[in-house]
Amino acid sequence: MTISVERDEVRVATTAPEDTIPVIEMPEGIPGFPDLHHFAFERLDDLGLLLEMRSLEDDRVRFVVVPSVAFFPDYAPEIDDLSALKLGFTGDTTADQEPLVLLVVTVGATLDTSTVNLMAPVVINGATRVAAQVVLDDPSLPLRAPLPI
Amino acid sequence: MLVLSRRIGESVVIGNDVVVTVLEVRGDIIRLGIDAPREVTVHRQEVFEAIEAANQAAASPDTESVSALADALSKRQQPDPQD
Repeated sequence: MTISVERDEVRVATTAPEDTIPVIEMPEGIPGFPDLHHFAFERLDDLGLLLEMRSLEDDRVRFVVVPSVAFFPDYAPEIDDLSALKLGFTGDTTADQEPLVLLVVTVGATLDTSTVNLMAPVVINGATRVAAQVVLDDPSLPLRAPLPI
Repeated sequence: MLVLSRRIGESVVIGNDVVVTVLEVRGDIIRLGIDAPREVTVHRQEVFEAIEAANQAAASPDTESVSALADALSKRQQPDPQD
């Protein structure tokens, strides 16, 4: 039996150059992948709801992420002071840019079985493009929440 | 493993600049205060391991599943095309 992998189908949607979000830097890597520090984004759909976050150090490693605001508008992660400081947030709300919060998706066979990680969002300082997967100190936030439909 | 006994309010120093202080003991729960330099990350072990495992499960999904998810989401976003 031969299993063929259609590499041409890697791109779900055509990606115009202007859709490419610049590279982010994750100084501490990402849990499970501590040596990967730079990721580039690409849209997987026209609306920008589904993004690919691909490692520049190892292009075999990619994550599917979604902006939290698109699926969980009330989600307001409380980031500890040290993490905020490392991300370059001063705590001065007049000076700080609103962080961009992305959720890592575990892609299941269907929409129903795909989950997102609300316990540890990827938080990006848009001004510096420094990011971290921040582990939130809130036991009520699930590691595998269903994607709301 | 080095084993030390400490009272509430006492600390241990790890290396030159990590200080762990016993703040409170209540039943089988011990509250620790940790002073560490910015470059030292501190996590609850089981939480960090769970997130590592979740990331490993999430990494590099197969292309077909990602396509299916993108399709499903686009239908969800445009449930009722008027034209």
